Amino acid sequence: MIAKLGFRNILRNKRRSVITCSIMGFGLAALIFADAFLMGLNKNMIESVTSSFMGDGQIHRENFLRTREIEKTINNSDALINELANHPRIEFFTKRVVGSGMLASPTDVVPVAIIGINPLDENKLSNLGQTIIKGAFLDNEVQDQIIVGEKLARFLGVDIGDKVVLTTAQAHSGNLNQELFRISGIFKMKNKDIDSSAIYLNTSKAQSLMNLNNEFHEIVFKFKNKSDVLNPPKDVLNFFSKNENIAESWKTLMPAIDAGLSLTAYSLYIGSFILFAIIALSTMNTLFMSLFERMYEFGVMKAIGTRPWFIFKLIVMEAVSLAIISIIAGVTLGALVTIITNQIGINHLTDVEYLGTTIKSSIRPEFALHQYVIYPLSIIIFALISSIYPAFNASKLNPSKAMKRD
Amino acid sequence: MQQQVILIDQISKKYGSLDNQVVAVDNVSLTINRGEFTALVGPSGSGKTTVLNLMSGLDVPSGGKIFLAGKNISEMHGNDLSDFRRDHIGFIFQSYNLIPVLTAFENVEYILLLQNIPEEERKQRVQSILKEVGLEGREHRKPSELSGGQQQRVAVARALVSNPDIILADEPTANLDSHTGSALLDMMKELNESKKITFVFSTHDSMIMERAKRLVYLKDGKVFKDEIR
Repeated sequence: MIAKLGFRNILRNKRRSVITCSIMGFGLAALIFADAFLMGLNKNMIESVTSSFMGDGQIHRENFLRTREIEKTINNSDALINELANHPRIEFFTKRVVGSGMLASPTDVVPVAIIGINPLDENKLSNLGQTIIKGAFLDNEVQDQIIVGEKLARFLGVDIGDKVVLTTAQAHSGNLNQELFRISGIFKMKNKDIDSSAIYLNTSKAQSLMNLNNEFHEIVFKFKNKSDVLNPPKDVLNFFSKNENIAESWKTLMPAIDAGLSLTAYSLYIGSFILFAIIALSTMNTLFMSLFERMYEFGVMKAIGTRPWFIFKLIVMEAVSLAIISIIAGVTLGALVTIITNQIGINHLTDVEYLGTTIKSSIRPEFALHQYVIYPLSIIIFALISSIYPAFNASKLNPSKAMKRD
Repeated sequence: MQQQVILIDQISKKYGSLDNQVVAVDNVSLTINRGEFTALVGPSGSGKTTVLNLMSGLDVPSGGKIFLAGKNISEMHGNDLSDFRRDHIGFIFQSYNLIPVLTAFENVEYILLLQNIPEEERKQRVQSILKEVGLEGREHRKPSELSGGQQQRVAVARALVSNPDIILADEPTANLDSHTGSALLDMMKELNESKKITFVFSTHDSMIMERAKRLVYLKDGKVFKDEIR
């Protein structure tokens, strides 16, 4: 009887019920989509970070990243490389030499970050090769080539095939060393810092330039499992952090990204709370309007012997029924919008630089179970909570006062 | 010996604060016996409805005691009072006051549902009472699909279906035309005479006064005349 009465009462004032359900339904749909969008954005950003140059994690000598001393090369590199090659959770890795120097063209000279790479390995790990917009990527066999960023090339006034002189300090002695290179390719990573100040050359050339004897400054690795990328396993990182070397994940190496992701999560929590508060107040308002309209009726129901608890349950049932109708509408709408945007992708943020990384491709909102379980359940809980006060009021009505029409 | 249904012992009802007090019912004592067809009459503000509300436990007296079916209802509260009203009192209101989202059948069945009567018995009793009040064939109509007279008949059926000790009717004909009102009263009178159902009306309708076996006149919250015909 309570269910029958509750449901029919909802249909009694259709316009008001439709408006209330719309508020709750659209709110839920918006929340589901916002969550799906942020998941897509986060995934996109993580992929942008890890696939560009960062990898999923890196190993350096302790304090190298802070001091940038070229003498701080990785200790026991042969043993470490052997362990990386045989580790079940590591998919791939590559070694790099990292230093700094001055790059001079006939017209200008600029300070640059020098990165020595193995072109074949690098192509398997990062998308550096795909960012070449002019010329060609490095060749493992040709040693006097470098590739430079688009902004740097423009600043130096150089193009493919032009000669440039790279000056760098040598390890241990501090002597300066100069060599002539030809520009083989120009890349555009769409990252302001990298495009304007980084140059890439072959590892062996970088080693000889800096007087490093088959030593490396950086090992970049990728995990086999995607879940390890999202939540880098501490045991794996700890395993490689030994002999004064330190293994760190992208989260530690780019704390701004991790903080940014946390911030978006908090923003969603705050947004959800505001939305649920609006839903709760709107439900309460609807129930009170309904209550005042039906004051006389409740008075009669109480007069003829209806217990207060029955009236309380009736109001709560009406709120829950409104919530259930809204959830059906909201989940359908939210899922529909997510499916469509997931298929076509959202391109408006492509190439936008955010938190030090560039959103590389279109954002595809992602489905997750919690969007269709936790949010709808929250709607029911908030509707239940918001119905308690009106339900209590209705159950405590004095029938003789409630039945007075004037 | 006549069986007492209601015993009202020196009840009073006062509203407002001490320095601005309104005495709606002033020291009223009254006994209603089984099978009576009684009307509380008097001008507006005389206290008729208040006495009716006090009789049914809808209002709490400021003083005095009310016994209904041997129980002191002025000391009852909460679920006990709700259950007592459900089982012992039938109500008929001026504006019919049916639950608008329920059909005629469901409105009458509602009381039996509250009493946890089994479905089979419920259906049989509701059908029977609706037939008795002349609503056979209109069971599945909602109140909005019934005329005023028909709605009031549903209200009578709802009041009767639980076999209460007394039916309290507050201005039951006030919203009906004279023909419909007269027919409704004749039906109630018939039920009173054939089944010895006790009716107490609050009214200033001459049609009720003509049919009543007893008229209790109220003025300024006091009984000033009790006429048994």
